[in-house]
Amino acid sequence: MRFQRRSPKRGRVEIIPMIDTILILLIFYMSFSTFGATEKRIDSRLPLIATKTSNTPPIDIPLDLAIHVFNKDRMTVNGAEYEATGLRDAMLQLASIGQKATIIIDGDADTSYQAVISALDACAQAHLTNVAFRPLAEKAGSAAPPK
Amino acid sequence: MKLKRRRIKRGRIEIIPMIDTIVILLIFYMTFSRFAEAGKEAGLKLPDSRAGDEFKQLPNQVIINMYNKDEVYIDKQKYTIDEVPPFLDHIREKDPRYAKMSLILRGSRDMTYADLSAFMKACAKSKIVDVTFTTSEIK
Repeated sequence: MRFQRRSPKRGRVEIIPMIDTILILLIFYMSFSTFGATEKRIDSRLPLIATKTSNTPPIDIPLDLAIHVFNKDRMTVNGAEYEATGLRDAMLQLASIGQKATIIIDGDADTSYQAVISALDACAQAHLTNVAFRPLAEKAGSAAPPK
Repeated sequence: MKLKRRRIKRGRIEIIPMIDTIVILLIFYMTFSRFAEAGKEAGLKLPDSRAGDEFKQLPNQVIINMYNKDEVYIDKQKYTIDEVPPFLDHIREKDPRYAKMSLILRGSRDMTYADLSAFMKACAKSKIVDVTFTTSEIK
């Protein structure tokens, strides 16, 4: 009696279920991925500020420009009033003539951080990086007067 | 003549290729996903800015997540701003990487200048002058 040899089953890649699973997984990952906001960095070099509790000697910074931030739409530069875009234009103009400036930013106790960053952003856009912040005077609730 | 009816092939889920593709995709996503930077508070809303360089953390930089002066997070641990200088001094003494420490401030856009001022005083206490402000890009 002659036995018939069983032909070996050839392995093959299943295309259609693979496409199905790829699509399902693609939808899954698209649904659950968080669209991350791009974060940026603005570098700054702070002066060492002497506080009442520290023994650090104060370092004087020559005051060229003092930006006082009231809110996002109202900032003063050495007394002249600007809004955020106006401030950026003024800073760009300053930078275009090669003027190197030391900028000191201050604000009121209730000035929003976003407004302060807008002022810093205006300086950064003009590549004016020599920026410092003046901290609020103890218990006074407003920025300490310039030295 | 009797015609043979062709049998209808029943659809079925192919398990083995599905497992194969799942594993391959899992490896792909694990390889290309950016591992979330440790120490970043996900719920913090950063202020917007146009300028700024691409965010990156250097080995000597410590990320400070700040909602206000009473709610500061460093490596998921909550502190008040007054507790930050002793903590920074402690890790500076413990780890030589932080001998020349600088800070990355991830401040909430809802903070006020009073909070920022308290942060700057904390920097002064720890004698830290290099501070990077993290912002969110305006699109």
